[in-house]
Amino acid sequence: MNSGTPPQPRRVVLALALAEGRRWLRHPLLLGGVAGALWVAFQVVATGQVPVLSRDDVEVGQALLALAAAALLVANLAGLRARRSGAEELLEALPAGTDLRAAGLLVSLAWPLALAVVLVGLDLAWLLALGAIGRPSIAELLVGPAAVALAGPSASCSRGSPRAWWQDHWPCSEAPRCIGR
Amino acid sequence: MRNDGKGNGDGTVVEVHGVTKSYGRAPALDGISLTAGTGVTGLLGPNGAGKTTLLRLLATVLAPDRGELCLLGLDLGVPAERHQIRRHLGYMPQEPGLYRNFTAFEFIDYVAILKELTERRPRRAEVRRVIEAAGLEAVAGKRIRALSGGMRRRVALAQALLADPALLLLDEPTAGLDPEQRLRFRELVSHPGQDRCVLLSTHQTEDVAALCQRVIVLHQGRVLLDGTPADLAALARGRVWLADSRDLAAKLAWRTPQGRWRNIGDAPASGAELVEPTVEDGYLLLVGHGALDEGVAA
Repeated sequence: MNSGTPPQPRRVVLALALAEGRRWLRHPLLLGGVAGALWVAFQVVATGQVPVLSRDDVEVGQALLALAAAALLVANLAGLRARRSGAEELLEALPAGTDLRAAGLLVSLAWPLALAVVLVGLDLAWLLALGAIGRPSIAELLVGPAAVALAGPSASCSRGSPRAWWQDHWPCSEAPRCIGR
Repeated sequence: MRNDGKGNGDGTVVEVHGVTKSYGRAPALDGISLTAGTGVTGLLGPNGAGKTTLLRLLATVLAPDRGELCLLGLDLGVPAERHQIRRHLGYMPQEPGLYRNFTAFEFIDYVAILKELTERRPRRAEVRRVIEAAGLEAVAGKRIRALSGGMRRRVALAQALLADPALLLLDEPTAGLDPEQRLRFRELVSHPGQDRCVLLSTHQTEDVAALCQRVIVLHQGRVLLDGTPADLAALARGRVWLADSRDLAAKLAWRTPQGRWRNIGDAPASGAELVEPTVEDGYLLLVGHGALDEGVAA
């Protein structure tokens, strides 16, 4: 089946991102992060005061910190999955190497990021439906999605550890293996 | 010798020339040379013989210290060709390290992506094909952590069968399986072995006798024998006999279920009741107690 022209790495990365994305969206930690973000947002409206967007936009952004924390943990778990499972030997024998796997994981962070943007939109719509006044600060609203966007890659950097990099640059891969023995 | 990854014109798929590999000062492979073509070839040897190291080298996971490796007419030492080899390779490590939280289907699908099967529809069809080939239909939706050891081995085999590889490397595929699972596994492996090169490492002589058209016996990183299972059994011809008691001239002897002693050695007494040797007898004489010191070799 593989005898034809090799697919572009971009296609492999996108396919990986889709597969990882499906796992993102049903991961218990991420669902917990969403629940946490909704709970914080509910606390804002539960005060009974008239919402003021120029004040409550801070809470809208901070509500997503729970989601960012979840993204940090899930990305770390996904990034270290091969090492944790002892699957590195199997994966090293496959055409798509560590660099493409890491790229696929990074691109898959678009899913929690999109989720964060949707949550911000929902929070705003909720506040507006309650008769909110004022104008929100775009910078404050972006705090939550930005936290999610930064948390994932920082954890995913574990995929780019020197050992993982060396293993893709055979025959130099032997050096770190011998050191780790 | 180089080509498009379909092997040499003479049917040779694996070529190993003077390959040496050491871990620190301990040599795992000591300048071995061998070739393999279509069919099932068994790598037989005791623990530490170098079977797994050889398969890791062939799977492009390790690099040799010295020597040349060519698979499918492509040179493992050239990065571009190594990538091409990986596209035609199926590898089942001794410890596959499956993702426990994935279902069997999800894991095989994930590996299929890494085998560059990027189009969703044909990839899913291929995953279903190997799941069916491995007899995993009933458990495809179960998480791997909930599967038995035998089922996990099948998942590992199924991922190796993805994309119809021209070379299949199986490292101790029947280790830890109960007798029924082993028989089922032999059935699974014998099918793909009909039209491709399968290299199977094992220390089970029964697997070799049942599956392999060819056997390579490794010991202490060297090739002791390269021939057919019948060649290996023939090493013990005239050197296996039954007796009512343990013969002191035997190198190895054990009591059979019938209560008699099966003796293996170089010098059966005159008039001894010689029996037809098995692959195991030949292997024991070749690698077993004291045999090497006395120069038994093919």
